[in-house]
Amino acid sequence: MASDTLTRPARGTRPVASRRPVGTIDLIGLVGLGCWAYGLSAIELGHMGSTGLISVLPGVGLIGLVLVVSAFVLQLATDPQDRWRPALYLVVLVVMLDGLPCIVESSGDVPTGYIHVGFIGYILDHGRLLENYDARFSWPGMFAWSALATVTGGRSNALVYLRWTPLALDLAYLLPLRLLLRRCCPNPRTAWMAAAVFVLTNWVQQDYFSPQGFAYVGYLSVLAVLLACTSPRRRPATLDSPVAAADRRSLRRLLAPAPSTVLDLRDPRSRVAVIVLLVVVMGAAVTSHELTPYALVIELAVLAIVGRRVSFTLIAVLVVLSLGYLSFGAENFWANHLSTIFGGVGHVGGSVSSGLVSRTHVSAGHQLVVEGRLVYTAILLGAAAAGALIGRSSGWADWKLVSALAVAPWVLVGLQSYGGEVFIRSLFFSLPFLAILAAEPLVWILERPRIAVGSAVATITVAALVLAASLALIVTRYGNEPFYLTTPTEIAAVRWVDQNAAPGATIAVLNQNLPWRFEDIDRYTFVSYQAKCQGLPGASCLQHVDADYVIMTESETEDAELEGGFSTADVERLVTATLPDAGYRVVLHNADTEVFARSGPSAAATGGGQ
Amino acid sequence: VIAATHTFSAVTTVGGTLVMLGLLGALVVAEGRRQHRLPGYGQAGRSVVALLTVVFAADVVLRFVVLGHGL
Repeated sequence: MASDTLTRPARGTRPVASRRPVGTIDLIGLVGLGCWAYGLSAIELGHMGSTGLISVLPGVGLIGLVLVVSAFVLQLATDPQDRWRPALYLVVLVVMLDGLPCIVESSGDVPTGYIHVGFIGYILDHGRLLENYDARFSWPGMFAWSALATVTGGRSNALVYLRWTPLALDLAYLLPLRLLLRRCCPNPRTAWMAAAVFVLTNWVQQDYFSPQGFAYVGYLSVLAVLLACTSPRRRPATLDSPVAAADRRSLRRLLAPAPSTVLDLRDPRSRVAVIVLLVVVMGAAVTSHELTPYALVIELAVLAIVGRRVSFTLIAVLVVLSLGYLSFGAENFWANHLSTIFGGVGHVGGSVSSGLVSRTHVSAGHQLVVEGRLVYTAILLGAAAAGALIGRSSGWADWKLVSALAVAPWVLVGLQSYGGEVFIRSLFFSLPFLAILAAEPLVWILERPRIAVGSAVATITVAALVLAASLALIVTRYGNEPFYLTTPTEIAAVRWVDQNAAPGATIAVLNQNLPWRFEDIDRYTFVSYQAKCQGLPGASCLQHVDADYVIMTESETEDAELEGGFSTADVERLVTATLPDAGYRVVLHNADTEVFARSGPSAAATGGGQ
Repeated sequence: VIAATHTFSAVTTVGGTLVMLGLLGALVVAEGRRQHRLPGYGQAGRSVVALLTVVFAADVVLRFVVLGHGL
């Protein structure tokens, strides 16, 4: 299809969507989905290797992925303006890729989600927050809402939400993302391709049952509404003179109030309603997550300065909300240790070290996953840079704004190491705009077959690239599944300890990759040996921690071996010699877990643990 | 010292929150007026907003300095 048919229609008009009956492309997609579903039924999670879920994905499942990706690319190549097919293929891709662990695993996979369930449980039990316990409890918005949802749903805890939250959130992201892409992208084909690139490069897995996962919906929504409902404010004609041009470049002119930044809505009451809703969504994000509001401030500043679309008053509202909440609502977090907030300002080297270098000290088998993430991100950034150049040369009006929105969140790297996670968080925040830019080269190949290669070859090339991205996503996103995988027996063992340990007991684990702390978080002291002892615990560390119970799960062992770099023999020695020598005996043993204790009842005596 | 710190925290929290709410209200109303294409605040209104901004910023900085270092 010629590219001139893909230019965006004038504001207020809708493109004439094509309607065609079910055809070959649809059948390809349908067969692909069937193959994928059949493949999933044959997955043996117990045989998972150090590369994660990709190692157990059957060939028929991969064939299904090839077919669905092919159908999506063929659809974009032949008819990107179809009313519902591109959206349908996108939803199918999200279900296939983001929903993979939700479907094949029986419990939620990211261990941190279980701790969040514990926070919610405390709110349910006590009706208030637990002070001075965890920094995350200083931003309790999502926990409080989840507690309300749990009560409303008639549940006793929030464990039920863990398994399907990633899929639900990734589908929820598509709604504001679609609005944002329709407005930012130069044509429908790029918009759909950008949505696919977003889905296929979102390996950071922040969409689990977490505050940042939920706050991201607000982040996307605010940006999407502001981009969809505003136009660049126009310069007054008097500013076109040479003298005025110099004034325009001045900082004063740049930051001057913008009286024309009014939402493109006819009804004045609708404009005010949208503003109020934006403030409410901002407030929800501010009270739910510590980093999202500041990323949003940065992006809004870009929209105001580069895009000339947002007034500084709206940014000021978000700044006041964020600083006000930090100062008054999160005092527990920073009182007496302000350096946790401002200590990292300007320490880019520290952020690089903790975010990249320290993550490369892993076992050889898992190195492919860790390095794969770096390479995949580098490829994404390279494709985005190429897309910016293509956009500039093709006269795409918004290439500069989208590029600025893609670059701006990386400012966070210079402000905070964020526990070594600032890189993946920055990537997460810039991903919608990186996806737009990275989609440009793919669309360029599709739309210019006469320049590059033949039409069929161009389509096959793009399909191959999208398929490669899909496989890369499975490797990079689910490379941690060997130790993220949570089994019902692990949950049962942790629950048994919770029911049998005396209040005030110390419960120790090798590392935090297990489903723990999801009940009665205030009753016990929790310790991670690897964090406390900077490695596997020896006799002196065991004596120092003096734990009442030690929980050793398959997930912890996998993490120690893959991410910690310890050998199987090291972990085996801990279980068979070090712990028994320190006076610990096995009180519970099931398929995936061993629980050690110095005293107390055994599982056989209590009849639990399975 | 602990009692003084708690008193300082309580006073600046209550006062600062009130100032913050006033400032937020003024900013949201200003944005609403912008959306209605109405003129912004007059000189007196701008002065009040500026004053609220300065007091709010001072309150936040003072709290970070005093409570952040555990004085």
